[in-house]
Amino acid sequence: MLCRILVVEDDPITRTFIETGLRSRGFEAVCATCAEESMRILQIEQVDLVLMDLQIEGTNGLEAASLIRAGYTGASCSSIPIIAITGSGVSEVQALCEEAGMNGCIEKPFMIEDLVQVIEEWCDWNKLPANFPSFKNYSQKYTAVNAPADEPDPRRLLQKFGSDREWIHQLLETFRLDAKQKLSAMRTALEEKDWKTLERIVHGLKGAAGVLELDTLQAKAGTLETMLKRGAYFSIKKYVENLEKAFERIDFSTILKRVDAVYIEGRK
Amino acid sequence: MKVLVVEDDPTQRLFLQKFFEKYGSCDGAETGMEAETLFREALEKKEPFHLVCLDILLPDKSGQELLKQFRALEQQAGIPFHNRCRILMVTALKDLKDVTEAFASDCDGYLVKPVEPETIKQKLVALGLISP
Repeated sequence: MLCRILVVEDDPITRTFIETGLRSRGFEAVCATCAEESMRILQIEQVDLVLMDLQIEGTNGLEAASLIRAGYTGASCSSIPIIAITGSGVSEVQALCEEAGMNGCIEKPFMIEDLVQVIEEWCDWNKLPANFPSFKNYSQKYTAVNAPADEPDPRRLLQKFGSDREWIHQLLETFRLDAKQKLSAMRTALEEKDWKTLERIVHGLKGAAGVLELDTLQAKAGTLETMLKRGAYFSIKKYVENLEKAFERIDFSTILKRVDAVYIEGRK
Repeated sequence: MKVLVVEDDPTQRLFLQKFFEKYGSCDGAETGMEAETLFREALEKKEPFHLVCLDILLPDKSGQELLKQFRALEQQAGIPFHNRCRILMVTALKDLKDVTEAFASDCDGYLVKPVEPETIKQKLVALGLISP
């Protein structure tokens, strides 16, 4: 299945420009003219990334992003990458985007190539059309925003591990210590350009993150693993840094507290 | 039930070990070498494992290679076909090539990561190791 992009833009000219541009390069595009419509689409369709204009009529892009993050369109798409499109300078809206849980913003005017690079950063590479990834430099028009930190749903964890709180505690602690070691070993492998070792470590990290439902970390490790498999060493360093950041932002003690709270609540 | 989990990643190993402890005793091996020693010793003591969970990407050797070795060791020990241990591959590799190779070397099941405890449970039932 190909990468499917939801374009939320009320201006018909920009919308058509993005839609035809993406389609001509082999991506799938679905369009919405307002936030309400975009949320209806997310509820019923499988989408890999949302491009959201910030200045749309009615509910604006920031509100829409917050609603999606809050699970308004279903739990499965609450962690979908959302990239803002803005007419004002990125510096003006960056903090707002972060607060709304968006993953980055792209400044108008931009070319389709700028969008493609953003899509490459966020989407599963197995879903990219032929001739991609392009391995181009990062777009000047794009600014990453601090993505929301991984926070697995405590109910989901308790359900997965048969309400065994002790098991979850042990797994999280083992993971926290081991991931630290793995990341520092990755740094060394990166400096020594030891790609085979790097691939092996990142493979383990991906699997371990999957056990604990740390979706962002798992996805980022997966992207890095794919890049290494394909011999795309071009911007590996940046991806390793992204992975480190995603790990640093995980608040393990809060996750544990939430698990405990739900556990105790369930026993009442 | 006596289980051996072969997995180099500590989080994933702990996950599987704790899971199997509910059904009996469970040993963990981090490397292929370690796994081979444990498997051989168990056979020599006449207390073989009932189930082995094998990861494919291990630091020293591949799980596919281990699988073949385990089956050869069982044959050498004169263990009849129906008494062989169950070997379940638990790996992130999902290419048809890997799956067919494992079944050609006589594995009993193949689970693709990430695995849910419920999925493993169903597999154990299907293999006749636990009751539904």
